[in-house]
Amino acid sequence: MYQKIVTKGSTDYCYLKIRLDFGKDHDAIIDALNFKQLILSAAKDVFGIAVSCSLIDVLRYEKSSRTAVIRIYHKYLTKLWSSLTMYGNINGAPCAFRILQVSSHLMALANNSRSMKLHMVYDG
Amino acid sequence: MKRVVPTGKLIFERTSFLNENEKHLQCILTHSFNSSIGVFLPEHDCVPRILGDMMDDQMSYYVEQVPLNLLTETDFIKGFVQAGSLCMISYGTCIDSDDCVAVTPEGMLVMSLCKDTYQRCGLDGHLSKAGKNIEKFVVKVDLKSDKFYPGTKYYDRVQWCLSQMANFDFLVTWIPNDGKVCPSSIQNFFKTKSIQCNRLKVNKTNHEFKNFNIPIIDPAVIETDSEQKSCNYDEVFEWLGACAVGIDDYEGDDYLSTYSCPTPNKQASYCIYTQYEGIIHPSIVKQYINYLRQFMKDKKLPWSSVTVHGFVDSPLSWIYDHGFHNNGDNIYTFLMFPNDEYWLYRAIGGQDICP
Repeated sequence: MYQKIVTKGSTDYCYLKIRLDFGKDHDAIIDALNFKQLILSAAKDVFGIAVSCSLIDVLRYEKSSRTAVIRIYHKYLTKLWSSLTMYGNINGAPCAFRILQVSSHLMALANNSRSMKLHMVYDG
Repeated sequence: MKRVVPTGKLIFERTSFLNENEKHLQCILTHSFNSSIGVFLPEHDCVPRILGDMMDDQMSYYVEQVPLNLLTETDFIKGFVQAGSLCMISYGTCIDSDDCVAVTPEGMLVMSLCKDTYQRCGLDGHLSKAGKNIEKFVVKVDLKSDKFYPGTKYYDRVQWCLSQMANFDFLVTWIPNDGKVCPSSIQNFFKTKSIQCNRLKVNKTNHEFKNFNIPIIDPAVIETDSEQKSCNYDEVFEWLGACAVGIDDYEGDDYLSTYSCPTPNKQASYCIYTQYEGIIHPSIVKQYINYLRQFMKDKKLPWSSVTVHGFVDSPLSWIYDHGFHNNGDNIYTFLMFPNDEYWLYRAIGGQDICP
């Protein structure tokens, strides 16, 4: 009994971990609903209603760090990524979306060794 | 429509621990550089303490500014590379833009070098096979080779070349072959060479789920049929990922998220996901999986899963060259069932070679 399946082509979904940063001297409290609204308006500004109507799921949102894990269709990855990059202003406050991680497996976003913080034990 | 370049590949295997030809040990032991281990237990409220104890017993260190020629010195090779199982990976270096260095438990020094460093260093290597049009070169030196000792031309050449290269910061863990030797000997070794070496603490993350829907999985059925008696293998992997990132429960709010547990599912009163982060030796993963197989049978759990994330900047994913293009995924997940069958998922970056 042995079965093997290899998926090499494009997968249906793509997952992104993104963070919203504000410029110096600016801050705002953004909840999950606002966050999704911002992503939609970013997509709509650049590519119009068709892209903003595609699937954008906010799977997890952390209010304190304004970090979210979102799920989108793989074919819209480039469009959504570029529209998030170009978004830079909320009601006059300069801001930027940071794309922290991109993967076609949601499991990959559970850990990021590039941003791993080391906790050291100093023993004299 | 133009074909979209994949951002990742998934290799799924279904087999049993009782199968003579199965290769779960090979999968675990050749995946040398692990940055986290995560365990998901359905219908259970805590992860057995043994994993925490094993992580505490394993000593891992952060060593600063190590000259590379130190790794090829006889003291180091005889004392650590040959006398135990050593995992070393450079820290703070990105595989797509910097030079990365690692030592595998098999005693192989692997360096993934940028073009200019490679041309300057003067050692023989090959163009990295992870991705096209990337100018990264892989140099491998077998530290355990019979012909690698002082006095030979090759040894002296390697020693000289490495001494010309920059110093690196490393994450290190070492398990000695001899049980009487303390794993902290490696810390003393670096200290005697006046190199800063501090012990690392592992980070622990917990996600608890109460009254939570879990998918019904039949180990023999990997793809949903028309009767829908069990879940599809890819939906299960996505769901395990959702639990690992700690998905928010929006209670049927379709505006924020349309994601839901795959069907068919059932409610479990309690589930837990625990993840440890640090540099984790492959033998710890092996021991833990063996322990969990018995634990699952004793506690009558429907299944259990162990996920290991490799370092995204590791020069190797399993035995092949590794690169970073959008992501540097090299992950594996064992989904184990009480009848000794298991599903193995291996996720790698889009440009990497399938193991």
